[in-house]
Amino acid sequence: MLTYLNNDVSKASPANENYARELLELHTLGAEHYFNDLYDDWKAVPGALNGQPVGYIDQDVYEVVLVRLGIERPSVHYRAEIAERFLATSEAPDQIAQVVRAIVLHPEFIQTPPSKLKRPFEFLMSVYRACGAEVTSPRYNLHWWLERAGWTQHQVRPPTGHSDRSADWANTRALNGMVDLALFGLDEWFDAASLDLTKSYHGGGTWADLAQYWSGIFATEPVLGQVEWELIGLDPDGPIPDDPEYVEMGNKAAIALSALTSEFMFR
Amino acid sequence: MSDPILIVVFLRGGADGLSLISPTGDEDFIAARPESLRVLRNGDGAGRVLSDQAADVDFRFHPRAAGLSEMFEAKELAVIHAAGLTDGTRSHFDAEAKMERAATGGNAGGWLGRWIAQENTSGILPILATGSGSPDSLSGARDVAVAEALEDLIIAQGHGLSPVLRRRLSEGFGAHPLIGAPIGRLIELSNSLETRILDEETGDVRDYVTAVDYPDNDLSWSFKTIARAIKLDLGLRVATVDFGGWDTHINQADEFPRLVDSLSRALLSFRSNTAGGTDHGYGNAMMVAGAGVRGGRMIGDWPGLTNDALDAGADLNITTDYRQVLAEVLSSHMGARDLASIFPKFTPEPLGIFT
Repeated sequence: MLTYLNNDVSKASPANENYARELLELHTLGAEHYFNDLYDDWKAVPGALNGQPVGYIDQDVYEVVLVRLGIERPSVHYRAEIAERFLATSEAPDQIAQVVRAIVLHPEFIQTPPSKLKRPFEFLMSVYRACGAEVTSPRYNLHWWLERAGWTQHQVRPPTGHSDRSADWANTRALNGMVDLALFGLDEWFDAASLDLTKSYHGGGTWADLAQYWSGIFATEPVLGQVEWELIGLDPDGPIPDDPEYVEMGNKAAIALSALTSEFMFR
Repeated sequence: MSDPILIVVFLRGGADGLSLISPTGDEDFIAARPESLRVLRNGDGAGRVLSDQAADVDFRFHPRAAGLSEMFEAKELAVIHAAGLTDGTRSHFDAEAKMERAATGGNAGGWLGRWIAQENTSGILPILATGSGSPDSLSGARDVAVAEALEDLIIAQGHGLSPVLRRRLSEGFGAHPLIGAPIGRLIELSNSLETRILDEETGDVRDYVTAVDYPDNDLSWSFKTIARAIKLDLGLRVATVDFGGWDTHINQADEFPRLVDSLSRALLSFRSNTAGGTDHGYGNAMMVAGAGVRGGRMIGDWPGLTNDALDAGADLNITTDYRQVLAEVLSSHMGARDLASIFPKFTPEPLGIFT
């Protein structure tokens, strides 16, 4: 791919950033997850045919090394040697994992209040993750609604193409867009994730029990006071009718209200 | 008389100004570019001659820029060629950021943000950004609304949870240091716009019927949103439009004409739709259009494209600092008083863009 895209010869500066990026990718993933000398014969990789290959298959690492050595069509044997060389020099293959672990388990990290506003894509995906929804085959709607929230592709310089500054997302478009994502992201017509919303995840009981369940799942404070319940038009202590439509309505509302809280929107 | 309005259209991605307003008779230009990437002087695809020329090189608008040509010849649009950054960079990301800040220093904000800080902008919707976010030029500005369409500023329009969501957002974020202000803005706008653009009976957004037809492109959506805000008398003073896609490193011969067509037709429709309104755009060729503009003129010196005249032997040399244009727009049109704090370390010299 690197060769195909001419990235091996592309230089915007004295350094070849593409090469550097590949090496970073290699070390981020860890060599043991990366190399697979079957990459030219990917069907033979265990699990590849059902979409779950045991290792990460990527030709680029070979290419960045060999192309820089001027070898356009390396043999399988030669590639294997290069792979072994990388493995041999990676004496601490989990070094990135160790660093990440040290950062996130440090008391200071845990005690620091979240201050980074999630971007619309991250917000929606974290909603899916929190409620255990399965991301299906997102197509048109997902992109359309993310764009509506200002999450457009390639508007900002690489690496992600999206601003990393919270202030750039603290605007009416992104925020109201996130309201819509929280409200509609699990709808069937949205066609991006699947979760059976007619199921009583909270184990039955009152409307308040249902709301309490979802605030627990989203790790947020219970958000509904008397005024809110009145605005919704429900008695918190009333039982939920034994009707999937009511359960679905309750689940959706509680998920949206739990997601649109500072505890969940910030990280 | 209502307060003047400024609309800034940014052609993002580094638009090829030499194809938009092209020196078609310049020998160096002809030598440097294949015919497919030049505006021609003859044949069906010939460019549209500008009746006022900055130099004897037969400047022509791109053939698809009929609307721009019409506005120029009606003396409503002025062209400032070879305008831009004097400390140029070939990265359009860097160039855009520099032009939008128009000042050094990380906390200076954007040039529009600094102007807004001097003004008592009031009204329901004084500042509107129609792009995907608030552009750097508005950095530091208060009361910015970002929306592609006005109805996008209504919270959960028509949804049963809308009242409780508004309350939750207000209670949960009202005092938040980062998003308290935009949430507050959103709730205010949502409440105001509901009564103005929703049908009382159905609760649906009322269609915005324009007297003129707009071409079917994204830029038209932005212009229509701005036109609607003006017609609704929401107190609009500044609107920004991001028109992207001009990063035509490849396939320029196909893509560029389409973009020019979109720009030209949408701008012409907007001009007809908002008579009395004004709009301004800028790029490496900058254009200023609207009431009070001494249009039909090419302003500034044309440096030519000989090797000696090029910047670093490669790029069109800049003879007019872009801030000259911005400063004149703010002072002559918007009545800005303190240009020194808007454009620090820069002394504007009026170009005579306005009457």
